[in-house]
Amino acid sequence: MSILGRHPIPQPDTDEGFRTEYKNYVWRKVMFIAFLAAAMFILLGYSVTVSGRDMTFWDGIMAIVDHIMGVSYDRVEEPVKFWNDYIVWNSTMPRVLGAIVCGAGLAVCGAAMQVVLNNPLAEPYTLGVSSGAVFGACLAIILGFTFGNIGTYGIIGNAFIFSLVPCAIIIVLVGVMKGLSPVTMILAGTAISYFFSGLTTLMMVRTDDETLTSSFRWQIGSLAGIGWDNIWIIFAGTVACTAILMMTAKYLNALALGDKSATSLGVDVNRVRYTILIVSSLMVAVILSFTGIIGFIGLLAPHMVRTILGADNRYVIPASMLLGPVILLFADTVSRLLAEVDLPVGIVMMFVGSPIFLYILLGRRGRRAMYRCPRIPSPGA
Amino acid sequence: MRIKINDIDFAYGSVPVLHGITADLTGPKFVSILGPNGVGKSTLIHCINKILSPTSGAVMLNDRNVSDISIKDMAKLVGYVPYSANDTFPLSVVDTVLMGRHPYSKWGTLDKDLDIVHDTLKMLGISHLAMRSFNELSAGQHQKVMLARGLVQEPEVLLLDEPTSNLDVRHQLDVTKMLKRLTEEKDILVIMISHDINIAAKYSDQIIMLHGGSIYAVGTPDEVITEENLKVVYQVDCKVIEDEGRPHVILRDAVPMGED
Repeated sequence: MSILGRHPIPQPDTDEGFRTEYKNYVWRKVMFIAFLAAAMFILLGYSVTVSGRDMTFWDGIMAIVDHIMGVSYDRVEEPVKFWNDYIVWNSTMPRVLGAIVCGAGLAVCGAAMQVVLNNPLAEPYTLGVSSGAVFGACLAIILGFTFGNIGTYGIIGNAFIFSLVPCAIIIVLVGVMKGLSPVTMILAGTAISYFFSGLTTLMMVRTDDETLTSSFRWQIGSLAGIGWDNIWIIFAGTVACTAILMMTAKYLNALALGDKSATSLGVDVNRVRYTILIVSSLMVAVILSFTGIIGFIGLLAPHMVRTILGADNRYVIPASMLLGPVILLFADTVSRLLAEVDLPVGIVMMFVGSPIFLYILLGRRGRRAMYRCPRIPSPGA
Repeated sequence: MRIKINDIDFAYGSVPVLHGITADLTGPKFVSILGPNGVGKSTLIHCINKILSPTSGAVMLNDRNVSDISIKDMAKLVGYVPYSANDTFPLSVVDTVLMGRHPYSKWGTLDKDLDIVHDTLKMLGISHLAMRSFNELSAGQHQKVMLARGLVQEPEVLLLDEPTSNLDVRHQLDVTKMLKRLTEEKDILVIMISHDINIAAKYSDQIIMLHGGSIYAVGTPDEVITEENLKVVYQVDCKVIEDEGRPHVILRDAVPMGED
């Protein structure tokens, strides 16, 4: 049971008392979501100040507020505020907003994929989206092949298009085979991933060291490539897809009961499953094309939320949408604090994510929430 | 409510499971489906509530072919209590039961739905578990929660797949008695798969006995629960006695393999 429901205030066993108890239970979840929103904004305020420039938290907040209110500063008369504004809005802000949008998108996607595939280990890349994207990017970086003459967007365009190929193959398979179980989908995604990885490796072993480094660096998720010129694309894609996934939260709850139960409750299981898979894949493809592979967030955020709020997707989805940015912002801020050169956030996520995830799995709350297994006594115990 | 099953067949791929099933069930009534493992009992109720589509034949619900009824409308007419529940991502008990209101509700939770859930939990004696997580419960409590979910659908037909298999004898009797009572109080048709022949005989108005994917016998418990039928269908030697006007089976031994 989630900690929010563990010690409910006892209510009389009447309809009125039951309603009050349930509303309190829901209210605690809403409060937790509000807390996450506050944490995200505080972290945003701090994160924009981490730029190598001596800036306080309030300097950062004022730079954001003043800029939004249309206040501008003269470079000569108020150089400190001018440069604060310049650094925040031209250097750190796009990256911080990128962390928020990408963190939200990947976390929501992870939460939805886990339920749709009925697998706690599912994440945004489970169906092979990342291997397709890496193949597409390497095709552009190593062989110079892109779809159309789109300049710097060549790698991004390739990554986007090829990241959708594994999902498309799975959907075609579903059509041909007249339905696939979630387990088969995961295995099909794994097989397709290996195929694309093979092609990528083939290209990489036959190229020079410099190109190899570029290809490899693309795979490690980084927010450094996000700027004002491209964040709107990620923002639009993520907001649209997240809105759709939020609307499916109740259907996700039905799917979590099992396909037969969901069907008996009036849910068109196949339609819901494929809609969510397509929307999730589109969202991840958009994010992945600009950032490379940022792992762990889609696994970590939903599981952390479930240990605290329980598994009701009406709350798991919005809470993941806020916790994802908090985690990714934290990791990105750490990466900027620790490294003089730009340390890709994907690396920090692995270091930060692993111990937290282990704590969730092995901790008391995690075991109670869903990861329990029967305790088998040792011989002689 | 009337369910008419017209000569349905069903196969999983090339493996035939049901063959030529025909039955006419009119509620309110308590119907039990009996038969050995793998005979197609669950498949039959999945064909009734549109989880599966028969390969031939038709299931009619109040003279409407179920294939013409949307699954949302089906969910308002037919409730389903599965044999086991998926608890990979467990909701709380109250949220699990509230899912039974899914065919009627929007994103939020209405007071009316909460009242229905609370009344049902109280009726099943599990209102104290309402805020617990589903995966913290015992197998028997799971079954009661799933039963509650089926009941809050307020269906005209309730299909139950071995709803008492994990309950102790006391609770088996309680739940079956309650289902029997509900058929009359709520005017519904209850169709229950059971492996407990004596409980089925004690409470059922009608029994359908399956054998080899077809209906072997159908009728009142007196007509269906006979030593001969049980020997053919279950391969057991037994004695059937009368207890309070109902047949009661005393098992003696399994029929040796190859002997009919």
